[in-house]
Amino acid sequence: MKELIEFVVKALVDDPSAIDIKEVAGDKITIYELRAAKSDIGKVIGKRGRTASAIRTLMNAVSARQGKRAVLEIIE
Amino acid sequence: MKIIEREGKTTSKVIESFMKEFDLTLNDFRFEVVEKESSRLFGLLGSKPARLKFTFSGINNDIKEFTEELFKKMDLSYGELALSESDTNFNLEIKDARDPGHIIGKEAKLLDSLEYLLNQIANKRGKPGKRISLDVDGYRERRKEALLKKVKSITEKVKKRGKSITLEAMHAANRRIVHQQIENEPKLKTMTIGKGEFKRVVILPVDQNITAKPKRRTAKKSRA
Repeated sequence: MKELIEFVVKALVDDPSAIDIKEVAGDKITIYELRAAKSDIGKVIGKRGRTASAIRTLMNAVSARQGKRAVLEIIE
Repeated sequence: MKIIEREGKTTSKVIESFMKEFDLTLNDFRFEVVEKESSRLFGLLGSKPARLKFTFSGINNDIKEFTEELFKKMDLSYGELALSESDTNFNLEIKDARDPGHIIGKEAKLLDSLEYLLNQIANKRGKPGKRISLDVDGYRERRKEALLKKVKSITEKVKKRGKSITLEAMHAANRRIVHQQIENEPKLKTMTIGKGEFKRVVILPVDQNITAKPKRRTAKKSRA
């Protein structure tokens, strides 16, 4: 999952090297904390959060198959 | 943007084989002659090959490769990913998906999200100027037909009753289809109400207008 998020997000931003994803595993829910370069935050979120919600849709589709839940948090 | 160097006997031969290798036409790339071929002493002492530098966007290959990689990471199984190009679009079609329902998602949410992300990424990586559309085993075409059928039956209803009917909230692409369809009806017109995600199309007789707060008659909900 982490790899998937990284793959998508790095393709979206100008500075892929600044992308950092931390996986915080819980019992059923895994939280992915995403950090990006300041100038790239907007690209990850998108207009009206559209990009972020598209990424979350992807994550939900993949995690639902594994019977888990994945949450994406974008940290400024 | 990709830059590739190639060598060969003559300049024209290098270009020819390059075009074959990447399946490009003359308009798809630029090239620069780094070194022209030359033969030393009438070719008696062997010859120096021609070296050329090619610059091309390679966007076609990039889109397909990227999408395949993405699907692999998402663990989606399908037969093949077909890419075709029209004047305005790159059409990606997932063929023989093992679980098309999963790839499409509820109300095509996953399919739309994938399509949206691919467009964002392609736009960032050197403007292709073309939209990428993503489909699974002809799903979008089938939805379009279903929508047209529904619009047709609602059209008949509006004509019969002489009262407007409001459709459920739809995406811009689907609303466009409705607008275009109604344009063929001389006695009817379309209007849009609502904002943002909740825009809805109203089909109404040409001589009517939407009054301040009409009692909305909503067509039966379906996944269009």
